[in-house]
Amino acid sequence: MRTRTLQDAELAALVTAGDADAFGSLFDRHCRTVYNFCFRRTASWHVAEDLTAVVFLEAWRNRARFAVHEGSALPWLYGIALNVCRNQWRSSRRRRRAIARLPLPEVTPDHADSVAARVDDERRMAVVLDAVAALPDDQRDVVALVVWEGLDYESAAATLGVPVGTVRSRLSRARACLRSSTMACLVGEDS
Amino acid sequence: MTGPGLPPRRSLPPGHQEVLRQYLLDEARRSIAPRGRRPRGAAPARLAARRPLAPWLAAVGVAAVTCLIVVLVSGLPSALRSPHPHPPAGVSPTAPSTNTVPSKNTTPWTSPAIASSTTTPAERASATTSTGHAVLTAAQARQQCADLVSASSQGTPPGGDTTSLRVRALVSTAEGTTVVIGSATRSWTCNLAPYPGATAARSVVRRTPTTSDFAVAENLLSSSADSKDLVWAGGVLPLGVSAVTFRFPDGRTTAAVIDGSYWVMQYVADSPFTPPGNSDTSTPRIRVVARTSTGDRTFLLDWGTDTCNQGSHGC
Repeated sequence: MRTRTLQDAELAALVTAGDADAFGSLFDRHCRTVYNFCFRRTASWHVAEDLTAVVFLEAWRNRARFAVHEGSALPWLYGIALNVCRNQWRSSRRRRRAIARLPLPEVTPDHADSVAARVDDERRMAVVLDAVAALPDDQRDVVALVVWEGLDYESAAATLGVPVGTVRSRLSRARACLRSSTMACLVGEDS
Repeated sequence: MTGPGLPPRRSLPPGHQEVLRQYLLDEARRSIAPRGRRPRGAAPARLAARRPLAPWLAAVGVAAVTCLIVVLVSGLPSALRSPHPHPPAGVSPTAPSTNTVPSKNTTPWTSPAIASSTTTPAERASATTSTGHAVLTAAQARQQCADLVSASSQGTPPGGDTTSLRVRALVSTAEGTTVVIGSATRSWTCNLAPYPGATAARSVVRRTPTTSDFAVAENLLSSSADSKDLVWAGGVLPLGVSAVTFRFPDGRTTAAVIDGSYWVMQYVADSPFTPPGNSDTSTPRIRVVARTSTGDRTFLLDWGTDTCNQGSHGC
């Protein structure tokens, strides 16, 4: 497909103009990253898959505001993913409370979920999320972007729409908060 | 910098990326398509109710259907939303059930006019009767199915958000309504009438056909007057399949309604396939014929295993 070889900035221009093929190429290029990011915020591959679709739908709907940072569309996509995951967490919290009042029938899992490795991933990720659950939202976002996703401070700042200094301070506070935790390694605490 | 406790990165499961991509492209093209024109790559046979030619026409249609529902079957809406439906208006809630087959779910039955199983999908879609069930629009069917799925927690979308669910295939006639709704990754099939129920979530990735792809839900509809057998099913079309026909133990056949890459089917038999006291083992099995480019393939549904696909009721 003609759009596959284009840079993110070129794809962004086409997407903004309403080019669906370019949008497809953008999805092919970044869906794995977004999928893993969503997984690390939800500890569920299944939910991450749905959220990946939501992230790209939102990207399309907001294509007029498409922003490329240093040649990459990822910071912008991460920004959307952060909001989508945050909304999912809030609404799922309400839903979990409602469901807790209902008798739960047996749910047939998807084939992919039956893969042992993925189930193990979800258990491990749930432990990690529990460890950082005490952090405020803004600090958890920085941990996810900088430590787990490997973004540099500038890209994280672009994603969050905050100054670089804010990213540094939030990360610093997150590390301090978790310093005594056995999970400190998860926020890059070396000493 | 990645901590040792983090699970490894993974790709989407095989086939899922293509499905997601197609879904997103369909949505993108639909959003920019001129009003009244179908987007490229979208399914060709979706019901007109989903994309009305003019807003006022849709409004008139919705109002008319709403009036019909209120005037003709005032007891129906609450029944549709209940996982254990009450009898429709005019039927005694204490009417004794003639059902003695424990493996099937039962519901009181008002003996509505049964539409012929040989009618075309278009005829079915336009059918309306004062003695049967209300014909639902795609929007109504979507909402009611989403409610059923949410209520039964059958693998609902994140946060229970059902706004992204779309109707994939629908058959709505005087004998009942069966609909397939789906997100980018999963689909559910619901019977909204006469026996509301929903299947568990199924992946929308198309695979080579197996018997389980055509598994049906079966409900016994009982009243003091008579009993009938309701069979319904739907989902994503397996790879290479272009048509699906069900042949039932009573000798009648019905073709599934195909809508893009989805299918849906409902059938009401005039009498139970397995009369009270009889064994499922002596009842002829439902025969499914799937048309493929290389010829017809036949699948026989095992009673119980392949005839209990309604996740919301258990078996």
